[in-house]
Amino acid sequence: MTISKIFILIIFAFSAIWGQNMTAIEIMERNDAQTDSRDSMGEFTMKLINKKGKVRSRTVIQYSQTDDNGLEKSIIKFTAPANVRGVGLLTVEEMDQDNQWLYLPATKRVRRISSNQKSDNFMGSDFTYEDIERNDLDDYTYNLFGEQIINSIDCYIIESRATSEKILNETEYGFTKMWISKDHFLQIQVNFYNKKNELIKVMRNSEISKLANTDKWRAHHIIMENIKSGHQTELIFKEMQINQGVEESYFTQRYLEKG
Amino acid sequence: MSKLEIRDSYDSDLPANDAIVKTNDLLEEIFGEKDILMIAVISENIFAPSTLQKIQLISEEILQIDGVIQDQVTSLSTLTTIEGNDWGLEVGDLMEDIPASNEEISELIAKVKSNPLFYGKLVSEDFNASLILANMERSVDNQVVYNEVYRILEKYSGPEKFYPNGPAVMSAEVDNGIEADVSTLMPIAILFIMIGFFLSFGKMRGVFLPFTVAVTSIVWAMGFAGHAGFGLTVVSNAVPMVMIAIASSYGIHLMHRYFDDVKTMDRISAVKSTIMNMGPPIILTGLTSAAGSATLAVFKVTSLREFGIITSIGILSALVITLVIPPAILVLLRKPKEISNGFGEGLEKIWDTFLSVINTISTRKVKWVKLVTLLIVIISFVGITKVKFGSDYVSMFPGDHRIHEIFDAYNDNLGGSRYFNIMISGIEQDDITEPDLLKSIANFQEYAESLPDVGYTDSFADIIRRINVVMNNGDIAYDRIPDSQELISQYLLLYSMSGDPGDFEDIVDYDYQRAKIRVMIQTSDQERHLELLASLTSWGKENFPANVTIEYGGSVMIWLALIQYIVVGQVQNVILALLIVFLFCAFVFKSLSAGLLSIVPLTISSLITFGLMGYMGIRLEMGTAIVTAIAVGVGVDFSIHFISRYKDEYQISNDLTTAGSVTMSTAGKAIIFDMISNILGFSVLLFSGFTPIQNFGWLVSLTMITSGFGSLILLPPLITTLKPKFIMQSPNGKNDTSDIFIQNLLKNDGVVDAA
Repeated sequence: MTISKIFILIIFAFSAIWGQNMTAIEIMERNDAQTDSRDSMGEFTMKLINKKGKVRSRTVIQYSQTDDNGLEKSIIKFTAPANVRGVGLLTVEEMDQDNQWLYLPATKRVRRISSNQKSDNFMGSDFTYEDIERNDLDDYTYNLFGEQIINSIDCYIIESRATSEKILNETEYGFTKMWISKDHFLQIQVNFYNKKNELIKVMRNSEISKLANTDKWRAHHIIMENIKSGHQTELIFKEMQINQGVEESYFTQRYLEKG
Repeated sequence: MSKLEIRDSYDSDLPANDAIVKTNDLLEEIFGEKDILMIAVISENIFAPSTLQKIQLISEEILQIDGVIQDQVTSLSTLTTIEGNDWGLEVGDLMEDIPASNEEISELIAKVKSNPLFYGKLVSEDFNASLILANMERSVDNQVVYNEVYRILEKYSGPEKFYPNGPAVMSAEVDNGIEADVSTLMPIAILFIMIGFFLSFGKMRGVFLPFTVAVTSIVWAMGFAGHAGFGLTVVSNAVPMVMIAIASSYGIHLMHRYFDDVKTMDRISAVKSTIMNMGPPIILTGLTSAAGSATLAVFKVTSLREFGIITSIGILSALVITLVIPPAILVLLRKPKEISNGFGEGLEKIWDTFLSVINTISTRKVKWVKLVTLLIVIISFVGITKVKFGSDYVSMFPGDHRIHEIFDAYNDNLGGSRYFNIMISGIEQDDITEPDLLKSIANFQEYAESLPDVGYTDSFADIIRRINVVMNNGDIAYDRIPDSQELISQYLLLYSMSGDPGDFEDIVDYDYQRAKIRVMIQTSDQERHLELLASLTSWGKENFPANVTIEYGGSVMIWLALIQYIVVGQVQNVILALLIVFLFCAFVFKSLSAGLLSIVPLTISSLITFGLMGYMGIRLEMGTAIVTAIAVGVGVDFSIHFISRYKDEYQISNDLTTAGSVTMSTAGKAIIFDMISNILGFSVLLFSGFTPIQNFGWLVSLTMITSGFGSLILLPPLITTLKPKFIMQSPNGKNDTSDIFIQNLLKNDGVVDAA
């Protein structure tokens, strides 16, 4: 063999080993990259299910946009059931706080509402604001615990703990355990534990597919189960798009009212 | 016996198919099975920082109690509010920190005053009282919660007063009472009986053996109860005492005969003679008493039915044991030494005099007897019309029990701690968001709050009204239900955005089809409860939309339902008891008139008892409902003894007067001794920690006295006037079994033989 061929072989070997021995932070970085987007649009049904199996169902369209500073704007409009059609919530993130406006069509007025705590529930669901917002990797430490196949998907198991003081004060979680798929670096399941190390919530993602005109993958079916109360929330995406461009005008109070 | 568990709630006392039980089950199914723990804080000024701080600390510590649901402690320190102003809507804590300056305190007060969701509810309008509420899982250990709560409150005692309440606390109070009764009543009863036995016989075996009978039969009875899955209730605690009273009678009869016989016979023959002679009468009286108790099975109220069954079994056990164990032991023991009982002899002379006085009254002053009896019967009937039925939880406890202080604190300062849970059901999903229905609910609440003794009301409509105000910048002109269903639905969506998915699950169901109205009541007076229920029901019928269903539930309703069952059961029970006794005696004496005669004293004494209850305001409820059955079963013994002795004496002397006076001095004395021993046993119940049981104790004792003396005073004139055949006719020489039976009855007659 020529020396160059040996070299190439060695490099291949190295990268193979490298590929197999990803560190926790690397995995999280891949996850971060996968879930990142400049803008997004989603049309989904949110089902709230109580422990007796009773269901409240709402359909929603959501748009969001992230600017170069990482600040996000999003708008959610309810399309069903009929009584709440047109209700809208606009959120504009600023450096130190969130601004939110609410529109109830029956009042014909837009109102500001005060900022939420991380541990507050988002729209009466089992998701808290903390669950929905993207995490800054710097605020957490990650540990790789191993691998496991769940729902026929091969995953890394990563444990995440908050390190930032601010987050530690506001969060109700002690740590989370995430199963991240090896193929697309998406969270397949997340277990949430409180500060007493008790399991309090479980999130399961499924129906993973590639989105049109991008190379990004997303789960189209998300279930968040609250273990203590027995309540759960199901998100079923009818439509999801990323990076197809969203009009700036969508994120205004005017659009909240009229659009 | 180890299988016995305390059953302190009255929910399970009603039959499962009762309408109210079903409503309550439905209410629980829909609105959740949480129990509430309440702690009232009473203070001169709730808003003093030190008091507020205590409230905060207690709220936090309560979370640590096993069974308290996290995030569901409500108090001034945990409340969140939505405020509306020009800026917009702000969701925040009512009290971020304990206010330090006067300004901050005023601010807090203003916030509270402007929010009808808690002003006048969680905080009283005069700022003297506030509540700390916690939701608890159903499966909590009441005793643990009770102990923990008091332990926590102990730490913070000070100028403020703290009063815990709620189902767990209430149940624990009953449990503690039952346990206390179990540990105090038994020793006292045993002591009384042993004294009684000793006074009767003056010999140790005279104490020890009847005592054994009593204890063993109690163990059998309670053991049966355990195996049958019955519970230890307030009422069942009376069983041992009843057993002691009754079982001791048999023991006394047996021992007395033995001591007499053993003077003249050797010990084995003495024992044989005792059994042969005492067997039949003990069996007869045992059967009548057991039958009397068993008639309690006619009640649909579980505790009462179980009480009747346990007591019956106990009495039958005592019967069997009396005839088996003491004789067996006596055979093994040597003859007892003779001890002259000077005390006993002196006492006998007193009784003899007393009885001859009664004899005189019942034979010579017949007209007076008839007149007085008639008068008593009429007065009793009047008294009966005054009898009130049923009682509230609080009246179970004697006046000095701290539960009264607790309930008074709630009734006087807060909205009360009793309530009606009213379920309003529409037909379909989302019906509750219909403005017309919500308006009816709001009007219903207004009407309820206008009634005296109603504290405040809570419902879903309050939330909607509050949101309406907040969404209009706090303008209270908007404190009403909006006209648009869409608006209401959107308000709900808004509210859910700042809450938990489980919010509201207490007051509206998931489909928005059913809503719960809670009406807080400031009184424990059951008459008022009934009146309020009537007012609310009739308003509801007239003012709600046609296809809406209204159902009433809550523990107050259970207590009210009990009334119905107790009254119906009591009437059935009295009739049945008298009937059974009538049939029994008719059978034994082979004469219907004998049956009638035996129940006359009983009927009159029952009338007197009920009449007295009416005049004295003693209510017919759990404890007092059992009086008649027991009294009839035990009291019939007096009539039987008297009648049979009379019959026999007549056959000897053929003269009614002689027969009467001999009967009086022999059977009469036996009756009095029997009466006294029973009363001793029942009077132990006066030491119970529960008022109904105390009432049972002395009412039964009273009934013993009236039926005992009733027999002595009324039977002679009745017999002389009516001259019933079964007494007048002499036996036809054939020795049929009933004659032998009766001969044995009269041979035994009593505790004392010699005339």
